Amino acid sequence: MTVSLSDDSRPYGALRRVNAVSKVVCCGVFIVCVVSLPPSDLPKMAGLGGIIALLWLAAGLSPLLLIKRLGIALPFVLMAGLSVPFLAQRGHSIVTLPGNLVISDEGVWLFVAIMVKATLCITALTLLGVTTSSQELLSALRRLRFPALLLTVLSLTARYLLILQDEARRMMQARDARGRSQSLLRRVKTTGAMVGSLFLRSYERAERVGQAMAARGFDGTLPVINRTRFTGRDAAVTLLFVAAITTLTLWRK
Amino acid sequence: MTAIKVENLSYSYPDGSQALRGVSLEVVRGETLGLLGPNGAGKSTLLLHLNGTLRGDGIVEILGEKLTGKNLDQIRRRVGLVFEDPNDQLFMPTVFDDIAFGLLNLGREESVVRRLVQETLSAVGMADHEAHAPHRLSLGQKKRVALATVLAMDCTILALDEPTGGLDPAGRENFIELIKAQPLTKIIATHDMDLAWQLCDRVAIIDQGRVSALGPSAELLADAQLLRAHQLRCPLGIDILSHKSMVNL
Repeated sequence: MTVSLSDDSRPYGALRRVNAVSKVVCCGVFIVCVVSLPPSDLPKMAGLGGIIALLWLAAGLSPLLLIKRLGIALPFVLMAGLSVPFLAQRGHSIVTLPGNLVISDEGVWLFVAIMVKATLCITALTLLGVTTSSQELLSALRRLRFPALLLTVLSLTARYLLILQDEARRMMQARDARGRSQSLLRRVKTTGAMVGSLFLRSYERAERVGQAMAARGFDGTLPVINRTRFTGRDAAVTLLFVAAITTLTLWRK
Repeated sequence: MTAIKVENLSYSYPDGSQALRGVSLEVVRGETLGLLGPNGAGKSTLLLHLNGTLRGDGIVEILGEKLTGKNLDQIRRRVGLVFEDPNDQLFMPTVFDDIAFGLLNLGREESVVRRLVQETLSAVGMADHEAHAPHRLSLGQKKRVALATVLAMDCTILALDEPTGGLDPAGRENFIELIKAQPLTKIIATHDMDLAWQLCDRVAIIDQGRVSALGPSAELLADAQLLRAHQLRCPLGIDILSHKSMVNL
């Protein structure tokens, strides 16, 4: 089990040297461009897809990694998007199902567009996640004036997710060391008890962390010093990328 | 001058379990006091009262100043509390941010914070680790950084909870030397009897929330009967010496 947010203090790929602020801004603009394209504009989606695919390869990342990440995220999009072909009221009917359910050609295209857009956005976010450490990402969000409370929550989540994961792993090892029960019901019961126990441990740890924070003057915000500089080169990279994708998105024949 | 004065301190946890029952003790400035006792004796609870994290019935005075709700910030600046599990203490994304946390809360300027972080990390032998994520460090390294987080705040009193718990022998020795090198008043909750022997001027034996005995380390740590009565044992050095003397007899 790996967690991308917190387990990436050693980001990989050539893009890791690009400033995190640049990457966050570029990723945000890319997503806005993808989302703002009309569903019928598949050529432009292909263009944006080409750009993100080139960046993926330039970062020296394996396509297998992308397939794995998409395999986790896309089923959720699929579940949400499955109703779209039935709900679109426009276009010609292709199939009529019992219960007066009609699948229209526009509905199908809309569904395809949603899946393509989701794939592009997930790819961009994955690229950002694997080429940026959680510390850099948090620091970049802070620079971009992300809400302080959300940043505190994200920061503590990133810090403690691995510890919780480790505790869960140790509990599972302890369970397996005493023989795994064959009965499904017993296994479910044990897992339920473990989840409860993990929650209580986390709760108690949260209290101790809270005490440690209060002991050093915590007043509701996490004060930090920005230690990376946003240089002219970083600004140039950001502007170039943003200009390229917005031109592609807005370009009319 | 008295650094810590605790008078008739009692505390019950919300679940009703009474952790402290009328504890009284004093620590003079520059002294190292060991709090010894079995698990659940109330040692950690007592430490949490020294900087006002917990507030029980009774009096706690730090450097002559009575702890109240109003002077909590000042007291916390003076008492550096190092928790048993460094994962509870190190909550920021990087070592640098963690040490800078307390300093920034004190309102120190960024340039001063940067300098102090570097100096403190060098002092605990962790220079060049400031960009590291705490979860990537070994337990020994985490303990050093946890110590650095309070040393950076220029505290006068160091309150350590089980400082050597879980460390390997070499890491333990190094950490003990590091604690020894700090010219501060120290109060250490531990069941590491050898640490108490090496570091403490006096020890207090805490059992069931009470101070059962308080006196010079050399005296109390050699009293095998007293220690056994509180589920403790003599430090190894004294143990070996007493065995040798028995053999000679």
